[in-house]
Amino acid sequence: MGRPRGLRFLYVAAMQPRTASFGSRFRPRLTPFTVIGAAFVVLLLISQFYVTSHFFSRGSMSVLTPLIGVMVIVAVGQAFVMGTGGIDLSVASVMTLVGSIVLKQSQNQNGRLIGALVFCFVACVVIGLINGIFIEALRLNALVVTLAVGQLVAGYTRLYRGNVLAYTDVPRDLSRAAGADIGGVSYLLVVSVGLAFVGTFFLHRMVEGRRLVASSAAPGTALLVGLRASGYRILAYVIAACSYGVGGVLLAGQLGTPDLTLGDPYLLTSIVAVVLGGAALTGGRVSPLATLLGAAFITILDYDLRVRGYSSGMRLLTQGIVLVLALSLAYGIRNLSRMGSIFRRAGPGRAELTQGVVPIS
Amino acid sequence: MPEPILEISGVNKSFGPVHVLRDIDLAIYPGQVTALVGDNGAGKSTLVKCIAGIHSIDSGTVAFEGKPVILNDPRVAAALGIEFVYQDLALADNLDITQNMFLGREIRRFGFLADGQMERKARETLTSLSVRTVSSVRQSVASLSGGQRQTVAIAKAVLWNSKVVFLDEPTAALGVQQTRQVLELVRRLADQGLGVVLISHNMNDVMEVADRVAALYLGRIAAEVLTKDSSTTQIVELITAGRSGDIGLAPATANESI
Ligand SMILES: Nc1ncnc2c1ncn2[C@@H]1O[C@H](COP(=O)(O)OP(=O)(O)O)[C@@H](O)[C@H]1O
Ligand SMILES: [Mg+2]
Repeated sequence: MGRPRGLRFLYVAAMQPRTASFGSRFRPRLTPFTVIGAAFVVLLLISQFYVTSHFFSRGSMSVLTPLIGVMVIVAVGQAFVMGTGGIDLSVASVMTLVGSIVLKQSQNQNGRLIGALVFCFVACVVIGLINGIFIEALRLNALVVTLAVGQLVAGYTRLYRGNVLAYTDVPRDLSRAAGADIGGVSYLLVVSVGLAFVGTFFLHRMVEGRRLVASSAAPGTALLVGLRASGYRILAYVIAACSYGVGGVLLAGQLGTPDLTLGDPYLLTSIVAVVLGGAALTGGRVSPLATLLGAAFITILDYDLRVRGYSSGMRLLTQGIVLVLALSLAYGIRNLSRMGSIFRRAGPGRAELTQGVVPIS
Repeated sequence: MPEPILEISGVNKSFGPVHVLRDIDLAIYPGQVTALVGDNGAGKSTLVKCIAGIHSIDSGTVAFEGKPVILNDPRVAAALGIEFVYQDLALADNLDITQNMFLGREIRRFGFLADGQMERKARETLTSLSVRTVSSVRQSVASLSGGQRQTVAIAKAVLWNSKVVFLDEPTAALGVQQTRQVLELVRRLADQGLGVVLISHNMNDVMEVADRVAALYLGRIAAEVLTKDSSTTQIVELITAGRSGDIGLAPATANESI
């Protein structure tokens, strides 16, 4: 078996656990990836044939694809954190912060854009490190730490912006780049798909990625092997914060006038997207490509509901329901064999009986 | 008698107020299986983790091939050729056999994982150990039976041309047939010239494969005896009382420990 290349590699990379023979890789199996993939296709069909007959038209694509793009980037970041068994509630504040940094640092001048982006990058790395170090080195609860850090960042953002804004628009270069499209499909989507593949490549083909997976899914093992497991998990928080930063900057460019609520819709939705992608909340399974499908699914679902004229309350309710359903489904798939054995173990003492029959040779 | 490959002298270890290891002296010889026996909580696993560098030792020295070494990180032991199969197996469930065998010591090609090469080496190692119970090195570890997991863990330990292998209760959770296979593997390692330390409290296993027995009693080495000169009864007495006849701890010491 050689090194996978080209399209086959992309497919194979998406289909974790890899198996021995080439043939068995292509047998459809009940994995988080195939489940969300199937759900995604069904949703596309419903969108086209039931919700609106113009779903694949240029008009709806140009609205939908940038939204999906940003969602994917942010959700992949969240997936790295949830893969460690943590959760990151500082998503929204980080996105809002970078939006404000771009606004204020660049002062609406294209020439100052690079400087502003560097500032954003540093801010994201620092936030990721703070989250990671508090959670992994001091062993504090991820929920509480990221909530607190999110609050700190939100507070800082308000102070940083001040009361009166001298500039309310991002530089034209940024809005043009973020608004560009090919045949109605936003570049943001293209970039986000690219990033998801980079994430997959990192996890499956690079030493650090594999160690990150091991440190997340089997922390005890990683320690016994001599890996600096918490270091790798801190890295996950930094990667995540940087993803939110990229998402925030692109969203700011897309909207043109980022405000203090820029990141708010991404908090719950990014978590829903990751869960839809099948990541167990207990950690261990990070699949950027499954997360990509999860992010696309939840964005399209929301879009469909909006097209059908549902209120924002209704849409939030739907997200909540999808989250609960996805969680139950993920649990079901993971414990398929165990649940099966619960049903099979009808007669009492069956397990003990089979254990007693040990071949003696 | 060959020179010991690994020699531990005067090792002490406490967890807070609990003095778990007391003045441990132990010598491991190449080509021999040394059984480390002792009751639950005697400190066997702790001793192994101290040598691995997972726990730090409070006092004492370790010499490897006659030279003093400081083992304060699992990677240091690994670099010397000392490998460990832990009681709590140390395999990552969501990785496959190859990935597990190379975890932490991945082979890189141009900075990326050289999976093909690792896969080949993993297969070679399993073949060299005459392991036939594992069908594919790409199988996920989660899908393996207890015996297969133990086999993989042992294969992982010998993959690195190791010189000393510690096996912490490798047969504890296995059936009769799987135990037999693992014990055969243990014997084969010693026959290949490795120093093997087998931790067990199954006397049958110990009498079957071990050349020497070191009995640990409440954190002290009660005695080190040759298997061929001892009986099961004698070793059981050393484990449970710290002494047997005129070998073992002095009565005062044995009682003081309680
Ligand atoms: N990390 C630890 N912290 C505190 N006490 C420990 C720790 N590990 C082991 N112990 C204690 O050390 C003693 C020896 O344990 P262990 O080495 O696991 O025994 P064995 O492997 O011989 O059954 C036990 O009393 C146990 O409670
Ligand atoms: Mg033990």
